[in-house]
Amino acid sequence: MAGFIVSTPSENPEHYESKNTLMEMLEKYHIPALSGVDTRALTRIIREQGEVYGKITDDPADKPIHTYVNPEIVAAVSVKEKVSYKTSNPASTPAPHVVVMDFGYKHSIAHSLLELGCDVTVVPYNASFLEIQMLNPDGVLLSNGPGDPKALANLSENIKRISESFPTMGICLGHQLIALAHGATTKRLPYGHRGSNHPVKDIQTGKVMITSQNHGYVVDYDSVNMKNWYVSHVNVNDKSVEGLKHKTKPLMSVQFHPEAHPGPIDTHQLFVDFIQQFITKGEKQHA
Amino acid sequence: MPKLDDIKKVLVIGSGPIVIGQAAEFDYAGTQACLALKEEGVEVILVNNNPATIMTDENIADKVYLEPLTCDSITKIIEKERPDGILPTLGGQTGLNMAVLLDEAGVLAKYDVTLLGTPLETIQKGEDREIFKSMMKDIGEPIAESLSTSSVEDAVAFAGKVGYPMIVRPAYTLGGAGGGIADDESELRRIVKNGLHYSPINQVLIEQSVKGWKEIEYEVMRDSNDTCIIVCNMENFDPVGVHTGDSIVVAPSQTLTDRQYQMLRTSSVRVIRELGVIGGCNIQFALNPENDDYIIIEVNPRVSRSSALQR
Repeated sequence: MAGFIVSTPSENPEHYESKNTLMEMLEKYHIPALSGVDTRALTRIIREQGEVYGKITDDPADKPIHTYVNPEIVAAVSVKEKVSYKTSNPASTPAPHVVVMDFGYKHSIAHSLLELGCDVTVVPYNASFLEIQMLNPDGVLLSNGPGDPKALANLSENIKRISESFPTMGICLGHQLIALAHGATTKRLPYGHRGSNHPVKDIQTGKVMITSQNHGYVVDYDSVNMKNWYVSHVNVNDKSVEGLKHKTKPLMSVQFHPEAHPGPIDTHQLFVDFIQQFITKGEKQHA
Repeated sequence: MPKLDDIKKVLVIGSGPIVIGQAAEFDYAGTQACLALKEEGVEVILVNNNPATIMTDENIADKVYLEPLTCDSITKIIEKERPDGILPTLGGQTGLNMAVLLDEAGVLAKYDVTLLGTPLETIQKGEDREIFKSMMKDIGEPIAESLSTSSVEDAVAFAGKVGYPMIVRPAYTLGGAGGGIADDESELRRIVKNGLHYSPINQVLIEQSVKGWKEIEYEVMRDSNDTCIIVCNMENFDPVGVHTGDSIVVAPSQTLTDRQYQMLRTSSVRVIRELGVIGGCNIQFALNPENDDYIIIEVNPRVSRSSALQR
């Protein structure tokens, strides 16, 4: 986080779990902050202008310049070595094993899998098909992460092979990377979907769920190969792609965050469905 | 949820005069409902006995009846207008009571009027304390623990299990005479003994006290396709123990973590699904300020004041 703008920071928080004030936390992590700003007016500007660039400065002449997201950002935030976690209540014996490819993963994803009785191994974002195969996973999950999915185009072939060989789930950036690997394209949203109240429609059931989202890029609806895929979820507000499902392979991905935290747990069932695929089969899917 | 194409004319029951327990928010909600129905191309017939509301202005409904809110007069209106549907869930308790009366009198069946929104049995389930308690037990949602007893020792044992403070209410006494709040065992012994003495049937109800807990409300909507959304949540400025009518309410909540907000949101959705509400529902919680314990205080199978706060 490069900077923080707030209307009125609470100086006297009262909650049994509260340890620091907001300002103390920002200071602790050396994040510049600006308060006393009419954030609603600011939101309106961003809504109308789309992407705007800002700068926290005391010199009005010091205008912000357009800086691109570091294309190496995923490499910077991904784990460098694999990390393994054991579940305390296995869903089967032995516990199903899910490999999480870390593009900047939210720990809530691993927690959700562990809670549902899976062992989890988190591997670097660029782990090869062979390295993952050696781990003998029941399923692979491509995590969320920052930046432009096209900056990781060099991984497409690897991701295609992995996602065709194991039951695979993608979340956020992981969803976009799976789409790219299977021939779809991504584009930038005018202003991203951010927050914990984005309505998403499940096309099969017609039900609408409220989801947590944080993304600026999106899979282009028209670029999805409808011969092999169908769009499983759409955003109710702007009709953009929120989920993809392969017609024949155990392969699905979503743009939103089913792991919630922060946000609602309306779509938690997706993890259950993902895991159910390999628990009921009783044997490893791959040869 | 798709539009119901066979509903072309709807009778809306207004909330009547604004009194305690039936406040202005229901008037506001009913007015919004009339406008929303008209926007969908539905002909709106309104009955309200309160002329002092913008709801009865000529631009809100297509036709307004300033008639008493009684079974007889509404039956006559139905007879004359022959609406396809009736919407009683936005007029507060008055509207709900009317729907129950019209249904029991067989009027809805006779004139083939569809009751829109929450089914009547759900309305009744929400009203009946005992049915409601057992439903919440079934889905594992916490409510205040309580026990009816004639024994001081049983009361003490129960309090030992649930924890202090405890509210003691003697059965069948006027104005709650002989009751009180017990903070420890010696107080409980004294109050229960006293209460048993006052109660003509020698019985007291003792209940877990959540005095001092945060009072939080959720306003939930559900459609017939089971999609649920939270319209908003609210936090009372004063804790449980201060009557809502004497307090200030803020939307949205100000002192909950995301996990607490989501915990109560998830609980709200479970409750509205279990009750089978179609339309709005108001759920009141007490949340312990020292940890994440909560109980459901009350559920109203209709929208409440927050529908007026959220626009």
